[in-house]
Amino acid sequence: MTALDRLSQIIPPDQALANKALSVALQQITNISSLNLPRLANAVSNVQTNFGLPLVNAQKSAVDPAVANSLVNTLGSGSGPSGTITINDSMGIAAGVVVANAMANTVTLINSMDLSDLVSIYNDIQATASGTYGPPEGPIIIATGPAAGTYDNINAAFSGQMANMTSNSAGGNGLIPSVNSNVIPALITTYPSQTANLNTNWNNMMTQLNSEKTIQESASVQFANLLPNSNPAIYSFVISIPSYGQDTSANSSFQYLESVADLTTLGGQSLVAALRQGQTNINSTGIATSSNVPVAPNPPPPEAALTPSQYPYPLPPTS
Amino acid sequence: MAQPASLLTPFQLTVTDSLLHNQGISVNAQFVTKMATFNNLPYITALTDAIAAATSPGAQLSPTIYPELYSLGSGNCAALGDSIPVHTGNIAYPGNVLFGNLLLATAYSYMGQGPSGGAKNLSIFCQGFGALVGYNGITNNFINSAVNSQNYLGGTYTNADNMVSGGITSVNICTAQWGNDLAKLGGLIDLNNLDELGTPLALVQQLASLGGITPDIALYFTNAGVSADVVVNLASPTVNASDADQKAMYAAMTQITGTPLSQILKIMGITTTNINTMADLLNPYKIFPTSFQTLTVTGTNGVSQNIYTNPDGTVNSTLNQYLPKIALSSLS
Repeated sequence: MTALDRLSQIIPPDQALANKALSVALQQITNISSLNLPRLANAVSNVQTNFGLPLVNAQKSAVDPAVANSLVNTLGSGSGPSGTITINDSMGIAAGVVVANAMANTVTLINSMDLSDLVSIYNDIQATASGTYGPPEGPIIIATGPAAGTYDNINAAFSGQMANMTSNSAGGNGLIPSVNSNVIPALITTYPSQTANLNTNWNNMMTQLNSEKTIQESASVQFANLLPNSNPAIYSFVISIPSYGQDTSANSSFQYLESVADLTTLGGQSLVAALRQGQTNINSTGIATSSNVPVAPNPPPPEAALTPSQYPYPLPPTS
Repeated sequence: MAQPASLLTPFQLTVTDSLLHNQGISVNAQFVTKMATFNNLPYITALTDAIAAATSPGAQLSPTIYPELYSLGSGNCAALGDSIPVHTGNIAYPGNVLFGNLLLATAYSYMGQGPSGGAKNLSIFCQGFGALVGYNGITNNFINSAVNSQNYLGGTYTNADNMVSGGITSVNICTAQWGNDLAKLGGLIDLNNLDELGTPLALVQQLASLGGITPDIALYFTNAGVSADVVVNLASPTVNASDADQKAMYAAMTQITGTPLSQILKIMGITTTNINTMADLLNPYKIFPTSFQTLTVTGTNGVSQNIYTNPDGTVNSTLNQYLPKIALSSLS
């Protein structure tokens, strides 16, 4: 390169400076070295600019950070990096995502608690509904427990009745208020750690369910409204299995399908095998393991007898 | 009809047959087992028996009370009532359903089954799975692009015009005028030799590549004191010329006018007006007569500066403060 210090000794210094600045500027044009001057002239003459778009021209970065953050916050509801969405976020419950462990934890926690009072009042609900404590139209007499009292009718027994209007005697708290305000609070007091852990597990399951329903709504997928017995859907799924097999990031297609594959069946095991085969294809270097089955009909179908497509010789006389 | 040589692997064929018979995919077995265990806990069986009795017609309980039976403990410990927990972000769910059953029914629905399981319809699963994988992929493209946009262009972003013009507007924002000037320059500038822009040798080499060196030019150069070996090899793309030789070449160019100049302009396809000497072809002010005032360069400070400061063609003397060192000094 002839730098400015030398060029200034060759041509007038101001022209040297202008040429060097122009040289630097031109080299900032993408791929300019691959063009000739007429092509550059044509490109310059036809290039589109943001003239008349002041808000666009006022941007200090390619994408305004506020716009980027807004997009990420709006769309990034998943558990992947930057909130990217995985298939586990979208329909993970069928694969046991979150719920399998949370339910196992729930059972463990419940088994560590004495829930006899809860069972007792649930039994009272059943007995009341079954008429054991009196007919639906009353009076209903619950003798013991937090809902003990005499009630006008079954609705009062369930919802509570502080003063019995019919018998002019004291009523009771009612079955449902007693569960919510007496029995369960007492269990929370007795088992603060277990109940806190129960809440954590149930909230986790609730979060998972909310996530799935929200994503499905955003994707306009309503399982209840999908078409049953759709063979094209099955064909499409099967043809895509190799690509699903290549999706090995956490909580994505391969992992999900392994979780729902019914390994007690040949079909389920073949699904996993097909996924692994898809994975093998990208891990190997030039060694394809597809072993595809030929698709050409065997035996081939008989050829149709079609009308002649060539002129006869000699041509028949024209009429 | 032409058919592809192969499409499916043996495994895929087996999977297809299974799916067509609604086999091979099921709700996760571990989850189903855990749900069964949960639903057999004494307090859950007591609860479900209680709800079954209360909602039977014979109980004569007001239906308005039913939802309370399905929301026991929802505000403080929903697990004890198998109810949907009060939770931020909850969306609307069907009423009168226990939470465990809601989860299981949701899982079953993905397999095309009823709320309690039963016969599967795995084409439902295939549709939902494919649609959601596709949706996730597209959505993630937007998310990842938004994240990556903050590092896009590696900090070299200058402005929106340059972004859409590939940098053209960083040289001259008045593209119509500049394009017009460029079009009149024919093949004057070798865009693959921009490091040498402005040197007499680069101009001569470009002339040689387009049509050749006329005898007149060689004579002018010789008379101006250009070394004989340089003059003899002017048409060679590998010719080297000292700075002294190039200075002499420039001096000669200032004398090349009239017919010799016209021949040069014709060879190079130049139609720019007011080119009076060959040396004018090394002067941006002369070769961009209608657009020089908006020629700009983005310096190392990231700021765009005008190359000329006024209509008279005065060069911006502060430019050299922000040009790359390699462009400024031979010793860099």
